[in-house]
Amino acid sequence: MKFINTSRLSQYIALPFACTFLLVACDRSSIETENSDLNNEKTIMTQGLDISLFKDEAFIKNPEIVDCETNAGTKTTCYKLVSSGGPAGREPGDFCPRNITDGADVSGGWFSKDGAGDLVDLSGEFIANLASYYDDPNWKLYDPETGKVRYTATKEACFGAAKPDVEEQYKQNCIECELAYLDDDFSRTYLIPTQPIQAAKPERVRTVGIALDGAELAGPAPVDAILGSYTIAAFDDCGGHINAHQGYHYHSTTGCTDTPVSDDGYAPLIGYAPDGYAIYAMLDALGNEAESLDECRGTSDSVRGYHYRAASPSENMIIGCIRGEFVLPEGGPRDGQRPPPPHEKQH
Amino acid sequence: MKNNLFSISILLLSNAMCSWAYAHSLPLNSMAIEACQAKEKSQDCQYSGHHNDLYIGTCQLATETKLICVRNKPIQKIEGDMVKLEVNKKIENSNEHNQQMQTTQ
Repeated sequence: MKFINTSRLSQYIALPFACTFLLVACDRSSIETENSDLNNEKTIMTQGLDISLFKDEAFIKNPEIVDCETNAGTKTTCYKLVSSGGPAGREPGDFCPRNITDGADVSGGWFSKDGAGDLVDLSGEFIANLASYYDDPNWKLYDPETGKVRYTATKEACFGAAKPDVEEQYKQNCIECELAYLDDDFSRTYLIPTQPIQAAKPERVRTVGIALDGAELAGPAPVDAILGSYTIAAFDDCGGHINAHQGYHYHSTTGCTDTPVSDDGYAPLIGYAPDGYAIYAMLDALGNEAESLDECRGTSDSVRGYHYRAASPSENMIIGCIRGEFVLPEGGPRDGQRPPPPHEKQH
Repeated sequence: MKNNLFSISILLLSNAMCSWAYAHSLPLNSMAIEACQAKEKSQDCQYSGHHNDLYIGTCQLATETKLICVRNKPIQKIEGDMVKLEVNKKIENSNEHNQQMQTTQ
């Protein structure tokens, strides 16, 4: 935007015109000016969600602007985004290897036990060495005679295993699911304020937001429950996997939904949080992390306004908390707990 | 005085080494949760991961009740110098505390 580098006076003059232009031409929210002491930025020009940056086919209905009410009771307008539950433009996978001889080229990834850095390759060798990797001899995810990896090969097994309380018969399994297991009318609806509203105090993460391919950026995976059941909830190389009530969702970001690096070398955009603030990748073009982030992993600059920076793929958290007001899920209880999974209605 | 300082240094260094060894045996995320035990939301936290990585952040709610240390600084390497720095910092704090105690007595 041309007015960003001009004097503050010209910014104020240009602001109404810029807002009009953006609303008409780009179908994006107006620019918010607010006072904040974050990173000594007196004036923060925070851009709302930019629909044009989402991938083609990220939504199964045309995005619309609707009235909505935030968790703080603020009446405002929101983008209503409806996605299919899968990532636009690609088929999820691969997830679990089929044999301990399989290489990383036919399988996905999993959190490194280091708790930071890249995902580890979920190769056959990794499955074979789980007992030593986690220093626990009880891991038996493969048949030692045939080398075949135990994985959830059916819809029933997937739904029985891909949840925090893994059913007994599905313990000692590599868990993977298919989009085909979801109901025909499965969809995900996101209501995101058209103009971010800074909250009085940050809220905990229930969902991290929506990636540019329409899939959910999810909160931390219940790793203790997963590993405690001797299961691996396999990710594909993009850091996502599928379950019954979220569809395909990311627990880490590995670059699959990134926009190209911006002209100023800033980190690529990966999606938006439920408060409408943008989420950028962890590293910039030079491979550097942001030096100074707030408690939510947010920061602010004169180009992007307030925004978040993602954590590394194996940290099992993309951002730390939600800085702005957001809309609780439709039909969900006020505490933000998830509604029952769709498949439970069928039984 | 020199002997006391030496003893405190050894003690603190041993404690630091023990806590790292303990942290290394914990699974993913447990270290981040451990770092926020007995702390309140938004309080500073830090923990050491594998490969001598140091994570610095603040405690945030992972669930309604469980706090987790959310990193908001670049990952740092724990070097020998940092161990010395930590130990010196603790010694300084300890000395200040002792001086205060003497003053109040």
